[in-house]
Amino acid sequence: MKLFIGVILFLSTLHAQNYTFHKKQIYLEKIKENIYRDENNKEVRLKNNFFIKMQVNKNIKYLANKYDVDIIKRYSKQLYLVKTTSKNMLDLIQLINDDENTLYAYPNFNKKIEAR
Amino acid sequence: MKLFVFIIIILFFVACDKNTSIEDEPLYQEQWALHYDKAFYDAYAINTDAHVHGSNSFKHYTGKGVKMAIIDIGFDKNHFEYKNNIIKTINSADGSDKVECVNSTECYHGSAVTGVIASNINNRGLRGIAPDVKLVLIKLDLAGYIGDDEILNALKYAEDEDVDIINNSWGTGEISPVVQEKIDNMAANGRDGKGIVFIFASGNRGKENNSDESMIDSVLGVGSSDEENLRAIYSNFGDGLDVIAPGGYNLGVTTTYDSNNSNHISDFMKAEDYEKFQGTSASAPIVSGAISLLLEKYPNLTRKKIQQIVQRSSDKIGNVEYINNRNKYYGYGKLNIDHMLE
Repeated sequence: MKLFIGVILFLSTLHAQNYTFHKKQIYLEKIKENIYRDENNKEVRLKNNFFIKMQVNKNIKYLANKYDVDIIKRYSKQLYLVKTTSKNMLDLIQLINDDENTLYAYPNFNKKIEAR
Repeated sequence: MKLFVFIIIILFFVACDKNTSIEDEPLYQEQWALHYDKAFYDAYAINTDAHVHGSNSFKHYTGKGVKMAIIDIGFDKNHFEYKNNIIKTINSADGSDKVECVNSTECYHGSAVTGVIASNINNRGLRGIAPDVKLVLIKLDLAGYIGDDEILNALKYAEDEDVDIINNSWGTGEISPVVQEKIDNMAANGRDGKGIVFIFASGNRGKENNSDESMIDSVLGVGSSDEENLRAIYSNFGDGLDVIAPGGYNLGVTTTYDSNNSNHISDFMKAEDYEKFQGTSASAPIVSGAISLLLEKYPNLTRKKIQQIVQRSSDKIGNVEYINNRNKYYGYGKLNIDHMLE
């Protein structure tokens, strides 16, 4: 199963730059490690981890094993921060986002916040 | 006889202390955003209605019994104007109590926000809108890049302290679903089900931005008005904007200055200083302070009811038509504190 997921992730890196996380379309073009460009040509940074929100009564441990991710922190009954060693984190997030056991998966964007 | 004279003198000083009034604050005249002062208004050609009309409320309410979190870049927690209000300081990065700002040109920011809200009535500077509100100061390192996990941590610290209000003079411009869900949850279920009141500054780019934290329904989004009592040209707007409050244009909002920073000549930032506190960051704490007064008077109000009161009591200023009491430039209008507390 993990090999199958690995092959899918490898194939997806050949062209995929459009993602749909939490029902929202996001275009991300990789510039370098964890740094991307969005549809407005704006630089977007990602942290080395991401969020998973589980369906009610679904087990994160099963999902973590299936996709080879480690749980870093639990924020609520359903929301977790996880990390992966995958080189194709965005594609993995897309796979988990589309998994029937999750409500969504979402990148942990690293943002420049404005004091206003 | 000497004892009698001594007692009389002591009683005199005690009585004087109790009568300390807002007007005795040396910089009160400069606080144009809070009240009308003819000399100051004339000197700077300020529209006579540019303030928030709170003079009557300020006489009766001080934010007593209300607890507010301020999430910001860092703070001077020893500033004499508000240090007695602080009940806890938290660095959201490591949970420590170290909240001093470092490595930023905007280190004044958190202390300036705090001064607008909580400066004490002590004859030493200015009047905060809610000088008796209790404060939880939470440092979120706005100087660098921040992940949504760090924003969630800051919000969780505020939630754990059981605060009534959270002032946020910052924003990302692009709220993520995990942060929005956390805010929505706290705004619905915090305060024993009455809901925590979130105040967010809308930003200073003069642009429409409907995906910002300030634009979500469970938040009071705050824009800025200027000395002409119009929307400040820099004030971001959008469909979720709720209210505007003075943020200044040529003038700033008079407030405290971070004493840890040596670039400024005093413990205060005055309205006409070259380095002044201006923008929606200055407007948001005016609204947060006003909500403190409202919650002192009516502690059981729900978050939803508070938003409705703010919306209903605001003045419909400006030359943009209000449809169903609102428009996207002014929200529901400009904060009017005395109307809000009626």
